[in-house]
Amino acid sequence: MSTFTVVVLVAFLLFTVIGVVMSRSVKDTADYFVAGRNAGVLLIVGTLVASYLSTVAMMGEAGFAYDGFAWVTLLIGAISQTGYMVGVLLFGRYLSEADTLTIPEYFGRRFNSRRLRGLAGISVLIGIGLYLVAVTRGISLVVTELTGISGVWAVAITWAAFTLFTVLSGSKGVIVTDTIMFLIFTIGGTAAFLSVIYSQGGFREVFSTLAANPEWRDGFLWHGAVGPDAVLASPLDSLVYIVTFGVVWMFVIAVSPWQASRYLMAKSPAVALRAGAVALVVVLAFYTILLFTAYSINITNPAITPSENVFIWAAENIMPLGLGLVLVVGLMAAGLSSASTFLSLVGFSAIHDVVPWVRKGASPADSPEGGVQQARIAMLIVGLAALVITVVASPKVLDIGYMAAAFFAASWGCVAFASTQSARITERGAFYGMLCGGVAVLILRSLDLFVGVSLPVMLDPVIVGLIVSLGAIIVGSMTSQPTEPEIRYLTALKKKVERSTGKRELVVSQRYLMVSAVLTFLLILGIGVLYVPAMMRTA
Amino acid sequence: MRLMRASPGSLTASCHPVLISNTKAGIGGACCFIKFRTLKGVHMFTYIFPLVYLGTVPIAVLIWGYWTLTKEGNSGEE
Repeated sequence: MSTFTVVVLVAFLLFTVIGVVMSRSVKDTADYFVAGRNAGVLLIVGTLVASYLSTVAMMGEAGFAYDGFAWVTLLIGAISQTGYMVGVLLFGRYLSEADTLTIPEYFGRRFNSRRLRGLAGISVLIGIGLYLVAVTRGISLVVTELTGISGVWAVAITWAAFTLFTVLSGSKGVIVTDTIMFLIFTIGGTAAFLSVIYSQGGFREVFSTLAANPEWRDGFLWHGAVGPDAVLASPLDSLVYIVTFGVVWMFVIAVSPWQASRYLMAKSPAVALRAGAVALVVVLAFYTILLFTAYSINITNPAITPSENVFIWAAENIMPLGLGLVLVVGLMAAGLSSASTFLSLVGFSAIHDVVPWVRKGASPADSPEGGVQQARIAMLIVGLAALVITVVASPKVLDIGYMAAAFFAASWGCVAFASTQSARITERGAFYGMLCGGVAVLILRSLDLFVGVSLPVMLDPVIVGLIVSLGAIIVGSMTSQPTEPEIRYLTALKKKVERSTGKRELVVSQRYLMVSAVLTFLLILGIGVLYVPAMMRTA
Repeated sequence: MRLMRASPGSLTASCHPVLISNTKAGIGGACCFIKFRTLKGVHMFTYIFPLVYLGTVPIAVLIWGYWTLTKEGNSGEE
């Protein structure tokens, strides 16, 4: 058994032990569903970033950067990561005062609507359920790559690693393990990336080498290694791609259940706001070092295939053993933390939103203590279903799973923002806005996936879905009137957010934003000092 | 000072051959310099564009957040 195998298995065991320990402090449904609504800035940042970054970032996007599109991926992030700020200001901080256990419950209460809550709950159950299947399969492939354990065993080990602690401890365990995983892959990962850069001569040397070599110079420009045979044909294609995908992912970060639901656990709206600002800077900084390191590995080995294994190769061949192990554990942690969040969301929605909607009764979770046991059973059932689907799923099922991000951005985006910012949106507008936006994305993505008919990049299905959703909200709200309970709920929610943010709280939150802006500026300055002279010297 | 204000034509007509040759070289040099700077400027733009883009968008949104909080604080006081 190799060192990598032992370390991966020990890490899995460790996460499970932490979950079991945390499960002892679960007393009621508020603890199980929303970690007692008592989480501070670090825990919220930890769970936000850990739920967002998965193997997609550490492998897929790293591979894209290695192929010559480091800047393109980073520039997409410049827009998309503002979703943390936009999302928390327009939606997230209201959730933290909504006093609900799930986001579908919030929608149901805000619009006094069972059908809207049911629709949102079913979206979470199916959309994130399939996403969970795709992510589990993704992590199990990494387990196979690292340990040699393959097939059903790799899936089963992966599944057990995140299911046991999620079922036992719910959000209380998930938020702690997420934060530990976040610290491992940000601090440990950054140290590992720096070791790669320094093993190749340091930042200045790496930037100069990439700029001076005609083979790598194009890939080091903002538009990446464009060309007729490349993924992106011209600089204009790159620009359109950057802006479109930036906007799409901004909505994903702002309103998707696996990001916005984290604010339900925040101690106060001020904590949610500060966490959003910190997450923005942390993810931007982490992506910067991750993507440039991935591209720099071309200097040592320009022929890694598939390119998404770039960091696994680096961990095994460039990094010192200790840091290589940290990176591998961080890579696994990034995947597991997303999977545990997905499983918890699906389990919560199944028991708290979908079952009551189907039975036309109250949620079992409304009973504070008895609800925990039922929620655990529901989550285990959902988890077992996910395991079976993961084992038997065809690649097409996994592709459908990856639609989840697009689906929630279009379906929930406009409704979520309007629900806190407009008193004129009605239940009918919200219901059809959510339904039409989601259906539009599913149709367009399915046409692309199964029939091969795709729209230009500028008309990404999410952009079309958002427009359709907005149109449905406007038409639905124009043909009906907001009811008294809807207006009362919104007014009370706004007052709660206002009241909980005192003068001192406000000043501290503003300092967080100011420091985040200064750190972002220093980050850009740091890149500029290395990048511009290197490119100018070799122009 | 007088030479600087004179037109290039009067300059060549009224100056010593060495001075003419130096002036031509100077003009040529200036042209080269301007061309070099322009080329450098284009390159500079290509290299600085991603940095400006990368910085402007997040910082603008953070400033918007700061401004929103200030506005809410003011309306709360009223």
